[in-house]
Amino acid sequence: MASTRREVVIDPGALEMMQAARPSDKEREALIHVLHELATDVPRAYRILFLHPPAYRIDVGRFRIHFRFDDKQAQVEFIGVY
Amino acid sequence: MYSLMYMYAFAYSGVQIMDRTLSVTSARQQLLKLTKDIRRRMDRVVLTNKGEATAILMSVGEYKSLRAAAELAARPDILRATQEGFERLQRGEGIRLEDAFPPTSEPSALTSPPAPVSHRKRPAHGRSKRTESQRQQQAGD
Repeated sequence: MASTRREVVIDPGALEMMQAARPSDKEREALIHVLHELATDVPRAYRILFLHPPAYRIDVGRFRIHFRFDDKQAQVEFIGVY
Repeated sequence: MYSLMYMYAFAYSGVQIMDRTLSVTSARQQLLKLTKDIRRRMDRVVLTNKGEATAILMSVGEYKSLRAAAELAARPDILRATQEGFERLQRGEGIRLEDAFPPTSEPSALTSPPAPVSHRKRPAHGRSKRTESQRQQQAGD
């Protein structure tokens, strides 16, 4: 299936939260890998039911990534642990 | 991926996700078809035993969504952080991924997926690697 490439934009607050959770080198690499995947695909994502407009979540180990996407952009609004 | 697309489509089309009710006996006879429908159309099936609802069949994606919703409902601080992040992004304060994590010169997970970890062990009966000199020495013995 042909896929369009999206721009991935991250909230600076989400980056701060990610750093505050002190990811190990491996976790950091895994997070960056998944964030890059958002440019072309949203594997392993599932919708967070009551967040509107629809938000999606991907679990990367203990980390959670919340994002919204359309054909042009994936907007990452949360990277953290809960 | 397909279930995700369907969920996305349902969210905007206003189509109601169907709840069907079936007896356990009836469901057992058509379990394969039911699981396909659940995956494709996001159906939910309420299973009854002697007329009493006992279990629900639903897609894994929907189950995970419900769990995520429950986790978030218990964490208003995370909901607030997500909302604030969304508002900053709407104001154009987002950072492009390439700027947030500039690619390094050495190959890493930035450009390639993490290498799969193999847990396979060499078979016990497998031949061990020997150097040519070891083989010659053994042949000489």
